[in-house]
Amino acid sequence: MSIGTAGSLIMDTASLFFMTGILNYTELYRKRGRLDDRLYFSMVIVNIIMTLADALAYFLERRQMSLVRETIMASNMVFFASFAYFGYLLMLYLDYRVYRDKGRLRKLRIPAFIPFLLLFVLLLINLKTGWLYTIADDATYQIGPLNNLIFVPAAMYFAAAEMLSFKINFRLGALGALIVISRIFWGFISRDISSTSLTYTLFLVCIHLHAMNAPMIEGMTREKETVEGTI
Amino acid sequence: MTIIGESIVSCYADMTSFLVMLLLLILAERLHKRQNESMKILFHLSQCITLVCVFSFICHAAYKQTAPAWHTIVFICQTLRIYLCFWILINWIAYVVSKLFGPEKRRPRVFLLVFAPFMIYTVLLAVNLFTGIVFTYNADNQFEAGVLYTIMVVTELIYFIGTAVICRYYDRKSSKIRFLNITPVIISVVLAYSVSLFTPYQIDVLGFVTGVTLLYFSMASEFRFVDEESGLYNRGYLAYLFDLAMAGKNNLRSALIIDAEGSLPPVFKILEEALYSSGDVIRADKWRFLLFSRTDSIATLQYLASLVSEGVERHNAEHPEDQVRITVHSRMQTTEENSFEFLRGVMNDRETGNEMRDIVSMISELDRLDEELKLAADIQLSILPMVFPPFPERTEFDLYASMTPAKEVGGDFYDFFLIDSDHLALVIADVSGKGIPAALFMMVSKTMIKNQLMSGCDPSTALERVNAQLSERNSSMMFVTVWLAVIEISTGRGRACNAGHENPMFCPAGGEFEVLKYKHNVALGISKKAKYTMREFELHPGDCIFVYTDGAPEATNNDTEMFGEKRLVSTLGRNRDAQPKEIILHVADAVREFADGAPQFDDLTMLCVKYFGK
Repeated sequence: MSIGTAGSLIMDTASLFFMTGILNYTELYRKRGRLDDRLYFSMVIVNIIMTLADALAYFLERRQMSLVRETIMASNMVFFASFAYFGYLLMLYLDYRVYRDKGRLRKLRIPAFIPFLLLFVLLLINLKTGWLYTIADDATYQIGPLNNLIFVPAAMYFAAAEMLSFKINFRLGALGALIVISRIFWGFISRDISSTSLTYTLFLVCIHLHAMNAPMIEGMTREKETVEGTI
Repeated sequence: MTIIGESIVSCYADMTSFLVMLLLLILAERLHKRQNESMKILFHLSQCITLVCVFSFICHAAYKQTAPAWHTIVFICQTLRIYLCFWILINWIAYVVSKLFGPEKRRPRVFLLVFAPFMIYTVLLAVNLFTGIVFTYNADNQFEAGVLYTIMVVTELIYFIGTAVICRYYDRKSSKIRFLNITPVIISVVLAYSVSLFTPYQIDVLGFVTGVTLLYFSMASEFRFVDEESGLYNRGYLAYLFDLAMAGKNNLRSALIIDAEGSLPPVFKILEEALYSSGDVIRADKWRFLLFSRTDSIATLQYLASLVSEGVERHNAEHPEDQVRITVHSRMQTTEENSFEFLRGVMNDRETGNEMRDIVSMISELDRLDEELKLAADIQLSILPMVFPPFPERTEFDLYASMTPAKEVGGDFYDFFLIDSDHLALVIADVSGKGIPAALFMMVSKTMIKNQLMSGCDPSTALERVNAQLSERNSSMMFVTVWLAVIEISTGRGRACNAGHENPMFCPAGGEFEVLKYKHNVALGISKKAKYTMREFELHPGDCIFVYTDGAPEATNNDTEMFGEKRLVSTLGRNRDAQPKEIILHVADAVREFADGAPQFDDLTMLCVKYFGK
């Protein structure tokens, strides 16, 4: 097993541990069922799917089995789609945390969905054309001529999310920026180890800890949704 | 310097661990501010792990680096790393013991014996600096473990697993420590150590970090709802129940209100034992406890109260020197109350203690806000022209308008007025957001637009000036979309501007309603120097203009389907020959019917004018 594969599997396992912990210890918030709770747990689920797809792709790399190329192709497609979709959900979640306006979110969600939709269409086209990536005969991932396009929607979503997180709280925004910078720094250490799911996991951990430590009783009068619901 | 081989993975793990610990130390600040002993220990544990991440990273980065300076640096870092790992383990054991046995003075002496092996290892580590009996680094800067190192690691694992066994044992005896909270820590550490022992990838630090983070998660959720002294639920849990009630996810029908006197620990024990399977006992006040239940049976509540009384009698008989008194009374939800009102009623029942007053006063404050909002709604509606027909003596046109806010106060408005005897101004607008901020912005915008038009400005100039004023000190980043027209009544010629508003609908005499689509300018309040294009049009007798806000096309039903522009056009088409009032009332009925009881999320405002000419 190559270093890249071993490292990626270790990072993915760590991500899954964190995600399991979040799912396990926040059951009460899932029961409450507010829109921000639902968006948050959608992100957790998407991250789990992305992690599993990533782990599967790395696990099957260079293995000689039937349908291995097709499986890796499909796994990567799921990975890249989840990669962008997570950013979309994160942006909606933070927008709701800032504005607490369902109407605004309803207006925003469709135009915001377009970059993801375009990427999804590209991923489908890629199955025939290989513009974004291909899987070689030795079951290894090969970058296509338009590979960088995969990252554009996620970059847009994360840029928007970062601006919104600064509006919630400067510290939250700064820590989000730190996570992104550390991801870039990791890339200089090694390009072979996939740390995307772990990066996303850190975002979720960050948001969760921030929400956990917010005062509870004050939230009843502070949050617009709660006041509107009361009045 | 290049990081070599398998140490890349180890470095990745160390950097990730460091980042996670940094997040924990910064964001879990509120947890750390709690002054209880176990939290202080956990904070020390987190600090130790953060330092271990740094030393571990240096050791792994230096793998196979041949420069002589690295040899010394990595030897020292590794020594400090191993030493800190002992401290992590000691803190971990101290944390478990403090949760089980409480404050320091009650800690069993056996804990002191736990220290003994680690004191020996600390001495050995110091000796290792000169002798290499625990570990060394060879000429290629590769770590070489001695027999003593393996014994140390195995000892640490045994102690770690030992804490799990103790927790499991005590979990059965009391609720002071939850085995489930500890399990992920154990699993992640054992897994990480196993990978480190049997593969070239050293990720033991990542195992610690994952486990501790999960522990924080469990504590955070636990602390938010558990009263430390009693182990019962706290007032934060009450707020959570209110949240559920407002979301309609609460079907609590009855409550027991329990007032206690005397020594508290037996009171906690009696309540926990008597009521643990009936629901969540909440410590609402130092001496008052609440139990909410879904039952609507008086007999059930009386039975639960009798269990508490029996517990009190048993305790008082066994401990005559430590008497307690508990009085219990019950309350059922009435048919006039919803869940929120029921919860509030329970908390207002009888005299409340000092510590509950902040919750009660908060609820009273909400009532007061309720009254003020109703007053604000009345004021807002009063400034909109509501008398129809507004100009009964003018037969050249007929108009009607309506505004239905989604909440008590809204952000939409309409306006119409005669600038002079031959010019009629029509305005419809939609402020971003809802509620009081939008209502205030609405009133400011409306007043400004009217002032500009009454001073003789054309629509374009009026909007530019209003926009400049709104953009100037707009710290709330609000904006307003506006459609504005001025019609010369004698000729039917008009000029209109559209600042980001919905497309108007136009029905020529004898024709059909159609959407007038053209490029809009930007909404007011966004860009200070925005320009607004004026479009000229001419009305002929029988022509009708219908303008609206997005509350109409974006009205949603329970299947989250929207009313839509097409449906709006078709609804208008069915009444194209009617008068403006009938047209608007018909559209409002159609929207209401479509929504079928789904809550109205946005204000619904419409204005319709029909021109008859002289």
